[in-house]
Amino acid sequence: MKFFKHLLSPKYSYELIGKLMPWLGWIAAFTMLYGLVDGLFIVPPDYQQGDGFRIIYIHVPCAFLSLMIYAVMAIAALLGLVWRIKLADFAVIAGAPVGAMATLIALVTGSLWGKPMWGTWWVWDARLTSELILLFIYIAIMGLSTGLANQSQQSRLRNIFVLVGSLNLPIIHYSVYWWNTLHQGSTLSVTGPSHIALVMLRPLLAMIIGLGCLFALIGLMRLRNLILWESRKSQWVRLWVATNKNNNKKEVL
Amino acid sequence: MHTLRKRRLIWIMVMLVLVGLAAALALYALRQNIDLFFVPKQIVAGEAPKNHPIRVGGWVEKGSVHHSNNSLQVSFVITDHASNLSVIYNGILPDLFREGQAVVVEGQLNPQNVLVATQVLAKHDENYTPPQIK
Amino acid sequence: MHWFYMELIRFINMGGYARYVWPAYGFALVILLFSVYMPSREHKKILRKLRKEI
Repeated sequence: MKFFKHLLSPKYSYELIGKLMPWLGWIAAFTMLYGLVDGLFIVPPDYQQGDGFRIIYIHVPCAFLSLMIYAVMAIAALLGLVWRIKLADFAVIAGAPVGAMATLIALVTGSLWGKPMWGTWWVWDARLTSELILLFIYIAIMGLSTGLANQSQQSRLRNIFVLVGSLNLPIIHYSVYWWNTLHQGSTLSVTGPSHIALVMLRPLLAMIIGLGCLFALIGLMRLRNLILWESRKSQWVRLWVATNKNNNKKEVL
Repeated sequence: MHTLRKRRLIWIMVMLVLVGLAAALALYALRQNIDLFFVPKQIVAGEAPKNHPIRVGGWVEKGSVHHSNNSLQVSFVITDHASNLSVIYNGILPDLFREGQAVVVEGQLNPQNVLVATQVLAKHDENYTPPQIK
Repeated sequence: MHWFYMELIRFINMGGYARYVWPAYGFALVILLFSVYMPSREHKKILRKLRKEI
């Protein structure tokens, strides 16, 4: 318990994030470099979609991560509601714009993929509509993060909203099975075999890991800013700023 | 666990179950509106509205595609392996349109029960593989 | 070097799907760069503010 208290202290979590950031950045850079070179250039074209299928290497990772980011936020919201952990409230606030960006990329790249293959930019089927609703939910959470009055009450409201919104996650995932849709079923599967040739799967997994690290990095940068700003009156921030006053060069990020 | 925290957790769980149940009921009641298309079997059974734009999904029957010689007009039959529906269309077909391909056709039924299409969309499956393996 | 240019042109063409593939990656790149830039700028802004106060 004492260990957790230490981990959750603003000072420690701020420093830990600072140490994690370069690691996440480098892993993201290398895996994405491999994924893009292999996926866009080396992997053979699809038997049906030709080179058009290469949009998969940005669309599927972003769509998958748009759900994962929300799942992480929902866990944080639960921790914030039940244990009243302030860091968890901050994690929800920091995560929302990141999830919104992932969802936006998934929607736009999906549209650019749908036009040549399906013959339309957009169709109101269950998968596309529920993913669009996810974007609106993210935007609503961002809206619930801007107010200043009565922070703890606002956090409670936001966390409840996040948990209710998490009901959309199974709807998005199972939409292609529960209803008839234009969107096809899932290509990737955790429990069974994936419906993609191994050579095509490798860069896809690399892109999922790479973009996952990149989104984690962006979320942690936002979380770090929130921690720093909310602790600006405390002793450790004063000390930290004073000792780092003269070496601006270190503050690259 | 602390009693206060336990109570909060139970309260949240109950709330989520209730909201989830309400959402599930609403989605179940609306399931036909959420479905993107009818299948030919439903059309033959008369479940689709007449004189109203509808979408029908199925596979393009092999050997049924006939292109007009002097216009973009094309006619084909879509099937769900239970019933068939004839379609006529005047426009550009998507890249993936071919015999045996799944399609979603938007249009209106004429009195002869032929779908006069305004748009033809191709539906592909979730499989990706290089050409030589297939 | 001829084969290299042939390959490059093939790569850029994307089998005729260039006008869908490249905008998809371009859009993602712009959004991702923006998403990294915003919090890093915010961090510098907070530090500058705090330095002034102390």
